[in-house]
Amino acid sequence: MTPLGQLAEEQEPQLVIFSQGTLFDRRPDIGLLANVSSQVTALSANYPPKDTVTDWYAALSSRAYVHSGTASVEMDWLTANAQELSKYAGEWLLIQGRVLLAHSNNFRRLRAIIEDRAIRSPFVYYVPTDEESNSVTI
Amino acid sequence: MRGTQPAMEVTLFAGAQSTKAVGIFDSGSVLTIFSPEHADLIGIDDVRTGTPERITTLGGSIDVYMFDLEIQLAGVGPRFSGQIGFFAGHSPRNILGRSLIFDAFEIGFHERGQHVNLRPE
Repeated sequence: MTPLGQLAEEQEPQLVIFSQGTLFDRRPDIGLLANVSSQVTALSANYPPKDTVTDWYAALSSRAYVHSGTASVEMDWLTANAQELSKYAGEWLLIQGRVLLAHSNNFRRLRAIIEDRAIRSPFVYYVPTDEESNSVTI
Repeated sequence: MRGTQPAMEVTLFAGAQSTKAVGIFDSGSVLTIFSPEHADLIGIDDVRTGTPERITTLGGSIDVYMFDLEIQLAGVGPRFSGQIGFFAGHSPRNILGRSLIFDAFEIGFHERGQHVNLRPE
């Protein structure tokens, strides 16, 4: 029986990660997903072949239950300030860490700041207007 | 994550460049599509250099432009590659559609709890 098959006999949902057919890690506490994801990222750096990474990804047990509760500090800021965002309606926000670095209805202004500060992987968010929020686009 | 729409932070990658964005899960959309400003942030100066794909919306038919890129959902596994589209003009929201995101994950919406559950397929 494969390791995955053995796990299928177990009752509790858990996150499992395989590396080249070998059970790498298992976490019955799905709240630890952030740590597990970090480890996967670290391992993927150590094992460059992408198909290996894909193997781990695909090998997540059908019993694994993944929660999307981990996000960047920028996303945390956005969520924490959701009630205040209406004052920025129609504007782009540039968030870095827990700071709203800039906001403007002209994206090029934010683009210039990103370049000036050499921000890698910038977090930008557009705040829809009331009209845009109520519309169906797709 | 919490919010009034089923949204999630994602990171788009094009080579060494990347940008973080918020996308809305949309089972009504076949494609995963972002506003062109995000294309700009990963070095795509003109989205019209991508492969055009005609989509139909309630407002009529429009072209979106597809690129082979990588995407990662925040906190959910490594990044993976796929076809990602960009609107030609500004869009107030980014769409996480069926062809890429829903293909890769089993997705559950818990409206009362205001969170989304994901399980890699």
